[in-house]
Formats: sequence, C-alpha cells, structure tokens
Amino acid sequence: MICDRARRLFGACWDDELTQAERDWLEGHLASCAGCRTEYDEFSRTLELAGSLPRAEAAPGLVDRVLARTRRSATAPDVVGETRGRWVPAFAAAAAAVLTVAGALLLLPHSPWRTPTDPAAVQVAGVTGGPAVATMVSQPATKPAERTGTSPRIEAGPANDVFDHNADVEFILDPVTLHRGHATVTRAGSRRTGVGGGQAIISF
Amino acid sequence: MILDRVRRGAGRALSPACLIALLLAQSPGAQAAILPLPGNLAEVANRAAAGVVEVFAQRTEVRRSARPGTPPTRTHTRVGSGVAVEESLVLTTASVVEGAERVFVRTSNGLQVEAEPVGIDPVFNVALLRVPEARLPWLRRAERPALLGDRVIAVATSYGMPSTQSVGTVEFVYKEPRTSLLQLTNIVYPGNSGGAVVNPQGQLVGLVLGDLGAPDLGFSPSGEERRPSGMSFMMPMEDVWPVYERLKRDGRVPHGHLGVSTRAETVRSDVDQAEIGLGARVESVRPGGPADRVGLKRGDLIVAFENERVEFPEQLARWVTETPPGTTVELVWVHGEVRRNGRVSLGEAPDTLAGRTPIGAPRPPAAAVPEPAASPGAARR
Repeated sequence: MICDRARRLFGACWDDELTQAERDWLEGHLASCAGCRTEYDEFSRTLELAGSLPRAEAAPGLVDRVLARTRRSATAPDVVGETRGRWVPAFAAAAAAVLTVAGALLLLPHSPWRTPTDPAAVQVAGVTGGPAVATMVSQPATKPAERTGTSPRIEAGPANDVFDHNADVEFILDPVTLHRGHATVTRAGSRRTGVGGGQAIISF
Repeated sequence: MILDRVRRGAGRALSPACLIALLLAQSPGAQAAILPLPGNLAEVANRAAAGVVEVFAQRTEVRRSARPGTPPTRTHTRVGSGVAVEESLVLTTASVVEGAERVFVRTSNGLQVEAEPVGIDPVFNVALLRVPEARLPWLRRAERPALLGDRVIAVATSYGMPSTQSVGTVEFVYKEPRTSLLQLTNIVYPGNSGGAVVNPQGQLVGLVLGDLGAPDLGFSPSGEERRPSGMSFMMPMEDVWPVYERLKRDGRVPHGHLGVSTRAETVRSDVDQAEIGLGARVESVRPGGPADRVGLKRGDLIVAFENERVEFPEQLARWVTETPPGTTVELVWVHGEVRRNGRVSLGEAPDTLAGRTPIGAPRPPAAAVPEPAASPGAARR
C-alpha cells in the first residue's frame, strides 16, 4: 500500500512538482525500501532513454487534417440548441432585478440586513491590545484601515492568485505522528533540525 | 408600639417577595457565568481574528528537471498563519517561514506588508516576525495555561479565507521532559499552522501546530482532498513564550548538545508485529564532549533521560536540544549487561541555522542514507 503510494509519486517527482512534505516522505520511503528504489531507478532510466531519442517532427498540415477529420466524424452539433438560449434574457433580467433590490437594501445605512462583519465595526475590548484593526504606521491610530486595493503596500506582496493552480503555493499544516502504543509525538519540524526521523544515525 | 407591629408585619410579608425578586434578577447572570453561550464564542473568535494574520514565505527554487523550455528557477510560496503578540511582532511556526527569502503578512482587513524575521527556531518550531510598517491589534496571553477538558477556539487562515474558526476542547496532553503538546478536537485546515488558539475569554493559550496524519500527498484513491482528522495539535503558550522572549532579545535560542551519534535499537513484538523501541544505541562519542565526560562509550544503549524512558533516538535528540545548555541532566544507559547512570552538564549545540540550505535547494546527501541512489535527486543524476 505504501509502495503503491510512493510509485504514484514518481512522475510528479521527476517533473519536480512535489511539495516539500511529499518529497521528504518519498525520500524517506526510498531510503528504506529497496524495491521502490529499484523501481525509481528503472523509471528514471526509461524517461532518460525516452528523452534522448531523436525528436520526430510531424508532417506539415497533419494537425489540420486530423482536426478536420475529427469534426467530420463528430455526431454532436457544435452549437447549443436554441431552446436553451431563450431562457437566458428572461433569467438574466430577473436576476438583475433581484440583485438590484438586494443591493439597495444592503446599502441603506440603517438596513436591518446589514450585519457588522467588517472588523472595524466590531469593537475590540479586552481581548486584543493595540489598535482595533491593523493600520499602517503612517496612518493615525484612530483612523480605520484602508481596504484592500487602496493601500500602496498591496503592490509589494504576492498577488491574490494563490488559487492559480500554476502558482507554486503550499498551504502549511504540520503533520504530527504518534508512535503506536507510545505517547510520543514526532513533530514535522524535528526532521529539519537534523535530528529527526528518517535517518539511520542521528547526532546531537 | 402599634407602628412597630405594622412595620414588622410588612417586613415579614416583603421578605419572601424580595428573595424571589433577587433570585430572578440574579439567575440570568449566574447562568451566563456557568455556560458561555455559543454566540459569545463566535464573538470572541471574531475579535481574536483581528490579531491573526496570513503569512506568505517566498523563496526561489531551482528546478531539478532539465525539461527544455522551462525556466531554471521558480518562486515557491509557503502560506501559513501568524498571531500578533505586540503591535509590530507576529508569532508563527518555523515550518512556515524557514528558508524563505521574502516574507509578507496580510492582515484580516486586507493590509499587506513585508515582514522581517527576527528569529527562527526549528527545534521549538517557533518563528518571530517584525512588521515595522503596520500596527496590529495583538492578542493578550492567557493568565493560566489550557488544561485537559478546557474549551478552546482555533483561529487561523486557510486558502485565502480571512479566518477559519473552530471550537473544540483539549483532549489529551502529551508531556515530555521539556515541552508538552496539546491534542485538540478542533478542526484545522492547510494553512492553519502558526494560527492562534484562544480560550473563551479570547486570550492566547497556544499556537496551532498541525493535525494528525501523513503529509498531504494529494493522491487519495477517491480523489478527495486531505480530510481533517479531527485530531489537531497546539503548542501551549507556556512553552512558546520563553522561546518568543529569547528570539525577541537575542534572535536565537541556544540548544543543548550531548556529543553523540546514535541509531535506533528495536525489537519486533510477537503479538502485533509492532516495532518496540529499546533506546538509542551509541555509534560514536565526540571526544571531550558531555557524553564523553559522563563515560558513554560506543555500543552503549541510552535508555532514560531525566527519569523519562527513551525509546527512539529522535526522542532523546529532541529532549536534549530542547534543554538549555549548561543544564545538568541525568542519563541511564546499559553498558554490556550492566546498568549505569550519571549526571552531566549539557554543552551548547552549534547554531542550528548556520550552514543550513533552504529546503528547496539541492541538499547534500545525508550521511545516514545507506546508498546514494536512495534520494530521487541522486538517482536522476
């Protein structure tokens, strides 16, 4: 089961797409499993061999010909049926009307639907010290903080594209493991100190 | 005389009414003191969220694959949470910011500023960041530590959400010679490491560490995301605070050093085939070091540290490094078939950060790995 998991990671490891936790786990497993080590060697040898083969160029116009043939053989029409399109204007108009009314209600200053979700609206007393909300040093302490997009500092940091799957982002939640039958906790951080698990001999 | 009787009569008639009125008046307050309403907890969590920030730690990584057309480097961002403990100081876990070239902090109201690491301690897994350009609402430290059964709220950030909030209780306390780790029933999510754990009064009782289980390897058979195990862990503030004060003052925390290299000594149980740790077998002793002074020799088996049973070398290594240098500790070991014990003053470990490579950079092969081909990177070369 563990070997299956390790082998499923070989491709991502070769493409350098593993997270640090995955890489640590895989390296730890390879250190202790001769079968997977052999398998990984064969895997990397195969890919290296495949990569060293001469590159064959497609004949000119091949892509266009294949696409044209695919379109001809396709049974489904390329356009969406008209019956579905008729609903769009009516639905859009209804949705727009509902949104307009809801927006107007929410924007009224004393609207009962307006909830104080803004941290600035929540009075912080007793729980936190310092200003009620985070403020820039250059701003007076009593002035509520500016919203995202108006602060000049926003440009300096990472963009809001952390959900972009092309971006290399890792959300951290340290794994904690309990030794079976023992009240011993191995922290993820201990490995990085050079004294952690996964090594046969450790010095301290 | 008659006037007195009238007064006494009125007094007798009034006293039960007064008693009932007093009870009625006090009962809501008394109930609130015993059972905090869920609404109160939500309000406390919202208030605490103002002092919780999202931490972005960026570093440049060298791509290991030699695929043509791809840039040789890429920017890797580790995202975690942090807690403001002073107007410009943020505590987080070392696992989030270690090895980073640039660190940013985003507050719950959307301010984003650059942060400077004041100190990072990977042994205690604590990092302190300074945010000179922002004034943060900071969380007060709890007056008493969280105990077994206490209700706690985990407030942190995840996947760009301003705050994730989860109410739970302290379920178990793992005590070690120097530190303890509290197991909670709170649900935690990726990105929560370094977040705040507060008590029902909104005071900081700990930092979110992580949850039980293997790392998120992203290949569950059903294709689902890593599910919260419902067993989360926090580092209690009474352990974090001394580290925070040391990092604030000196930028680093000194660690104990014994001067030995050890390997695991285990036996396999006949009953359930579990690996049972027997202790740490000494492979080598640094001449003149604390272990040498106390009389440890190659081949000895260290079985106890400060009256705590040692089962695995990782345990002993952690306990030693968590102990301040100069502390005298008691060791018990087996030499041949003879039990020996001795007390020794620990030395100071070389700086754990010195000479370390960022996690993403190619690392030299570890001396302990049996074959160089064991590392995927090495196998490719």
